[in-house]
Amino acid sequence: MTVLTERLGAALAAEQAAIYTYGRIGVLLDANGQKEARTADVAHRARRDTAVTMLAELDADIPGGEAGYALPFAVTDHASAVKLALHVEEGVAATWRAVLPAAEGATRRSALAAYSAAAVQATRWRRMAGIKPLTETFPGREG
Amino acid sequence: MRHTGPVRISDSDHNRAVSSTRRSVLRAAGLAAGIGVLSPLASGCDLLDQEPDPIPPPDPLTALHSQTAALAASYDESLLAQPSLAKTLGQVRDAHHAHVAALAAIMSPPPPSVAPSASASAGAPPTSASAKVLLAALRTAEKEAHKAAVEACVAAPASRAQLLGEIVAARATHLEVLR
Repeated sequence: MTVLTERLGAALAAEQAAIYTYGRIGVLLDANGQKEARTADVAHRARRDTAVTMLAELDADIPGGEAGYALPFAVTDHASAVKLALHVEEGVAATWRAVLPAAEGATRRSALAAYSAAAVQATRWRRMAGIKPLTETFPGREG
Repeated sequence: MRHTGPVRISDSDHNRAVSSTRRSVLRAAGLAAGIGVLSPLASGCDLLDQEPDPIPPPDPLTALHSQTAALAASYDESLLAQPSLAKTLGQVRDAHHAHVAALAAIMSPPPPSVAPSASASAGAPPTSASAKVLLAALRTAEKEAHKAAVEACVAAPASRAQLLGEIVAARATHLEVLR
């Protein structure tokens, strides 16, 4: 396993967890939230497929994803569902950010697009939740 | 002589002090042992061959840094002109300033400090412009800056990829805020 395949594996795992999570919380979101969740879900599936392709091209093992994931906190209504969606996007952004220094050229460009998209989706969830500020100076950075 | 880097033997002040001592030593050595002594002694330092220090090339991030400083200045001007924009754009403005500092911190040689008035972007609308006009201008500038940052990130060495990536992602979120 190289650093790149390790980081891509982590990004793939994050995308798989995101897909699962959106499947769980969708029913709790209001109409606007569900529309947003559908858009986010489509993006996560596309990026999951991108990550799988990259790993395949590197002849690396492709993690299959879990049947279920423990949610980090209880989700009982629209507000908590939006909070979890935001949490998911921030986590996904962080994993793609970690791919950047390990990748080059087209792979880095794809990772950058995935990272940016998750950061933008996080901003959209913050807007829906009324969380300020809407943006982070260094999205997905620890601490 | 220009002093552009770490102190070297060819720094003019240091050199003058050292060289007068060395020249007198060399003169004495030369008188004692003949002119042939001077060549091997002189070849090891640039006392007698006063070439200017090579000027280091500017850091590859120079253009991105300047553009980011100009962008930060545009936000400053816009927020001054329309303070109502501060609620949505204050943090975006702060982020651009933070990015300017973060870029400067990793650049070698460090960029020259940019005077605020000098860094105002060309074509910035006059301060009597409406919020709508200002936002449109910021949107255009942010879009161009985002593209530039993408290319900088893709081309960068591994050690710079994350910071530049963060700037790309941040700019993508700014475009979302500016919609």
